[in-house]
Amino acid sequence: MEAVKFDKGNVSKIQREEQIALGTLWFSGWLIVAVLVFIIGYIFYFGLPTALSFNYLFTPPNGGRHDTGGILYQSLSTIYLIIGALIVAAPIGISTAIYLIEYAPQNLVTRLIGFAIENLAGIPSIIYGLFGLAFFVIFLKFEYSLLAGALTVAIMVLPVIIRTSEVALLSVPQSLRQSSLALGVNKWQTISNVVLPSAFPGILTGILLSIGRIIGESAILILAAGGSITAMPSLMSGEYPYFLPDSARTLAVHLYYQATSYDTRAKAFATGVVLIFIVLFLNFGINQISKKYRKKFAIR
Amino acid sequence: MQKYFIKKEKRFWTNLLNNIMGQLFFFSAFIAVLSLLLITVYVFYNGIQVFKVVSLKDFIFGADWEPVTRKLFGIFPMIITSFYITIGALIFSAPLGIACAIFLAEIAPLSAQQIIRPAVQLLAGIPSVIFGLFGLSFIVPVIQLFADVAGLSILAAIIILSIMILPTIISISEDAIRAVPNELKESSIALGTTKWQTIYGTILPASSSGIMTAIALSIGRAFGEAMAVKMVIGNTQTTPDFSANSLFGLLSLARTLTTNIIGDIEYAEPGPHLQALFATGAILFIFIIFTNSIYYLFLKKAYGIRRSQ
Repeated sequence: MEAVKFDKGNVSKIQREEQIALGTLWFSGWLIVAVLVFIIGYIFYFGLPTALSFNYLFTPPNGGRHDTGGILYQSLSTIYLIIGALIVAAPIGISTAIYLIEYAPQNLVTRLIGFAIENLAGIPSIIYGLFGLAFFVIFLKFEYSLLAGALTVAIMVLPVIIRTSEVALLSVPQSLRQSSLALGVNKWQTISNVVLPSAFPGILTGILLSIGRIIGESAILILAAGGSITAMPSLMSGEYPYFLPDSARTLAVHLYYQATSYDTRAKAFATGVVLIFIVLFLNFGINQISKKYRKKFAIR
Repeated sequence: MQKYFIKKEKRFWTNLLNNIMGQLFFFSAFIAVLSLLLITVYVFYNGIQVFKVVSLKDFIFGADWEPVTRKLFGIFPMIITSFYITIGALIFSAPLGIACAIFLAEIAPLSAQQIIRPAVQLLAGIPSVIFGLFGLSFIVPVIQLFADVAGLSILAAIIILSIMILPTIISISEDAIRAVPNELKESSIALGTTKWQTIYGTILPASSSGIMTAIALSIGRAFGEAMAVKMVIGNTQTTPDFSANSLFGLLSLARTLTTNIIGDIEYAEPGPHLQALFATGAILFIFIIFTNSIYYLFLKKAYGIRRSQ
């Protein structure tokens, strides 16, 4: 057996290597924070003065090259989009999670469903946008509308809601279900009275996550919802067919058009500040919920 | 004790409801399958139409995109650029992201973790248009400072993309590193190795499959990103000069598969032009399916089961 070399020189070399390596790791960890702070700081520095003015947030845009108006309609259409997409996606997503966790037998169909969800999660939003354009806008004759955008976005957030709801349902202790069933109630009563209330905070996390995704989405909406700037967004259209609201811009789409035109770029920062505030708020909510949730079921 | 018996009639209705809900949950679950099917069919069906006008070979290997004037639908430069910026972004962010993941999982004290992890989470939540705005108003002018070019460039796209895919790499790699059994780490430390030697010699090899899933997933993200890239890449249909003389094309304007769709959709007339955009989407879709399958391959290797997120 060879003798292990252990002279002092080797040790100091290893120590130096150790210091350099750990230093690099330490540096890369904090670099991420620095990048984030810099990006947010940069957007806030240029956007906060405009964003904090009451005028910008609550006046309708008036279009034109310099667009002296605000973002009232864009905020409204963002809210409509969130509501529209979640009305469709939340029940379907939560039901899917319930099926997969509480009902699904181990068979080919279940695997197919799992496969579809995983793949939906990996599809880039531009492909969802193309689908929305081909299916809702052209084939179903919705034209560029908030509704076409909302339905496409609903499919996009479906995997987010399903996955988080699945995790939430899985973390409900099996003993709770068994106690309920032992009382003689049936499966649906157990799910609606015992499982869903316990899993609610986790499901809510998924809803908040998907709100974040909807707010940040732009590619889908450019392709499926159009980009009309001065139209007052509405849930109902003024003309036939009435169930189709008009083309509209959400905040993220508005930011895109503002930023790519030189005359309105300064305003894009203010819209960016609004978006970042919403994301910060959502993240705070998610963290608060999961903190409480963890305590409740003593996870981790 | 009469009241404890449920009436037979009521039991009928609760049982009916139970059955209906069970069926309803199944149909909901099947909507995901239906959606995937519809998306695939509609994108591919609309895309295939263009091959009445142009051959598949000319579409994929054609160098010119002149959809309106000359009816030329060649997307080869875009395919190259899409790959180029994806690989470029990975070169920046894979080492940085993995290092950050190691720091979070193995070295960082709890106080540091409590700052860095929310920061990564926030970075993941920032809309892509905001990254685009940042690139357009900060990175592009900085590039202009150093070179006499438009600033809108492949390099700007690479920088923005590498920031955008960092959270994906970090969070999945961190999970993979945390999943390395403690016994392995302890055995390594017991042999007298230093912290770094344990990380380098034991932890990284043990979590390599998991780290590869992170990289495969972020390749898909980078390849499919449209808005942020569109805002900083210039979106010209010229073929970039990738020779060493022009800095490997880093400073030239270009167009990717995704930005081709976003840029042209605003004026594409129904007909071959719009169909060509769908075909661009279909090609993109094929690449995404490919990277996704690589992702599952590594996921299976790393965890042995289907694991969500």
